[in-house]
Amino acid sequence: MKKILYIILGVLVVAQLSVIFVMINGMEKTLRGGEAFNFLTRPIDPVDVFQGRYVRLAIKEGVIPLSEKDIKRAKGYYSYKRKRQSDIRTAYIMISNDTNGFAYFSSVSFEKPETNIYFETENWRYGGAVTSGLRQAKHTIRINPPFNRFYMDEEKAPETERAVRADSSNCWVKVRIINGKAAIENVYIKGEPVKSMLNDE
Amino acid sequence: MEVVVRKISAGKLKLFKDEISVLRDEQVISDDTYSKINEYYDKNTTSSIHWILIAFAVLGALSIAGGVILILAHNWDVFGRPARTLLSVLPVLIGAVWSFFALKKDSVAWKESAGIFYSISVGASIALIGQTYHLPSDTLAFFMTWLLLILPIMFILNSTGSYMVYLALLCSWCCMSMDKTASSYGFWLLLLPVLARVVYLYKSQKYSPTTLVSLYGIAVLLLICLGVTLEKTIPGLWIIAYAFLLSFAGLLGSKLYKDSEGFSNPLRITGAIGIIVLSYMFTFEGFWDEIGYSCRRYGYSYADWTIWYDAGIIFAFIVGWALTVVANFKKHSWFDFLTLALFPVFVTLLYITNDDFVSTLAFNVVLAFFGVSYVVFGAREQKLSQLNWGMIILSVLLFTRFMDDDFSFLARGLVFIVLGSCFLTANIVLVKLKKRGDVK
Repeated sequence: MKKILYIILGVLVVAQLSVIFVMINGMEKTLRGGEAFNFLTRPIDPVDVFQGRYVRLAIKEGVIPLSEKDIKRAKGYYSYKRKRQSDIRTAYIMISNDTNGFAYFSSVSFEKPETNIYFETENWRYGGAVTSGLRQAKHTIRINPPFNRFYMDEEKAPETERAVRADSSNCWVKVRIINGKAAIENVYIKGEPVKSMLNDE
Repeated sequence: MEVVVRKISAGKLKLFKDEISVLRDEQVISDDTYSKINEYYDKNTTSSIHWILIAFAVLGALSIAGGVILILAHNWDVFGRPARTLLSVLPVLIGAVWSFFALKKDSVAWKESAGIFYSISVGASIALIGQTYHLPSDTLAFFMTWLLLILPIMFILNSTGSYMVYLALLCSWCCMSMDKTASSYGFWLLLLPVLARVVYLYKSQKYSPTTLVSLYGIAVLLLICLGVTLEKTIPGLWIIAYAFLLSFAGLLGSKLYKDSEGFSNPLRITGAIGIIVLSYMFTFEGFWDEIGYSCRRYGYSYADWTIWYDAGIIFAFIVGWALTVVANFKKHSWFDFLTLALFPVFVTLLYITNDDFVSTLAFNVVLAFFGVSYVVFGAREQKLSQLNWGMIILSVLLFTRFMDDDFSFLARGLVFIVLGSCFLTANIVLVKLKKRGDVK
């Protein structure tokens, strides 16, 4: 009987480590093979009970104009009975660089794109008409990209926020993107990289 | 005859054995009787667990696991990515090694502490990876992964601590899932292993503290999650669901633990107290006035079929209730019938009448009826605690009503004096009986 318990314990440890390994492997692959994009952002400092302090990255220009064929689909999410967050289909977001070299979400598709430089998100909603700013369009979606948290040393996160509060004009996050995945490489405040555990290369 | 291995603390057993050896020496009992008694106790009792040791082991494991999470949440700048990746595996590995030794040592204190530490460390590891790679917050997925990865621990180590961590995570997941995705059907599936463990414990060690604590755990979990997981298709359906759940729990407790009373019968006491609390809530008109219209779903958050989900849950509790009513009724336990079994019928009838005033009035009567029942049965069976419980119910009811309404000071004063006198008289009579040895 005890022998079986040891075996089950062994299997359990392997299962737990496998889950951890799959998580690590996915992010490492993206960080190593992904294309780098810089998104203008404004970091704010909140806290997570389990993971500590992080800066929340509000990406500027989070709206994406919808193509004609997707309007109905994006709006339809609310009209379907019981189409809730868990049922939302994945949105595929394409990225381009503007003339200043900063990245923006250029288009959205609900079918998997042919290029491999895109990321997936389920965290989107129909945004309606946008009449000001750079991305004016009659029909848009707003997304919350999967790179909105940057964990930092508990003393440095508030400092970062203080620095940003004084001047938030020149902050960006460097993200590696490939095959639907996105991984944060670093955050830059006033053009300087924030010291973090990720700039150890 | 069913022989139950009972738990008696080593100290008490030693005292008892010393006493019977004195009785033998004084020739009150024969050598033969002495050895028979000794043999019986050696065979049918085990020394109970050292509670202090277990309590310290559990507290220690909890504190260490909490400390590990907090230290890791500092987000050490000095460690690079490879070091942090290694660190994130460490809590799971320590938990696994701790569990391995606990299995080897086969001691309750070791198993409990290992179970708690291991269960929490899995969450710490996942959180640390999220932190290292700046993963976006997905609390639901985080809790679900954590739940599934610790599920076997309570079985491998037979650890109540791990079971409790699982219950806490399941409860959190259920509430968050309802909040974020407006559904938590998974709750019932994830509850199955918990039920399996409780059934196993009941069959293998019915009266052990582990079983009783586990029963309390599942009772509290159901009380919290039942209301959360309902689909809110019909306003106020929770009233019926809770009425049947509480009555079912109480009657099941009466059936399974016939000889246990008070807090050593977790299901029964949960049902009994729950019914009183629910009845007390229903004596306020506001509850009937606003029984859930604000939570009712409509538009895109509503789907036709979910009414069957709600109906299914309630039907399951009704079936459970009906079976336990039949099982208890065979024993002709009028007390259970009046205080537990009838309650959901009352509630359902009043729910159907849909009249705020009638329902409020009726529940004042129902609560008074419960109070009187406890007093009468307590006095008749000469159980002081039951009698006092009835008195508490009555006085809380009266106290509330007299604070609520516009009665004169004189009327209120008189009622309180009468109430106090009833208390004292009943107690004096019972204390006298107790002195004579008639009261349990």
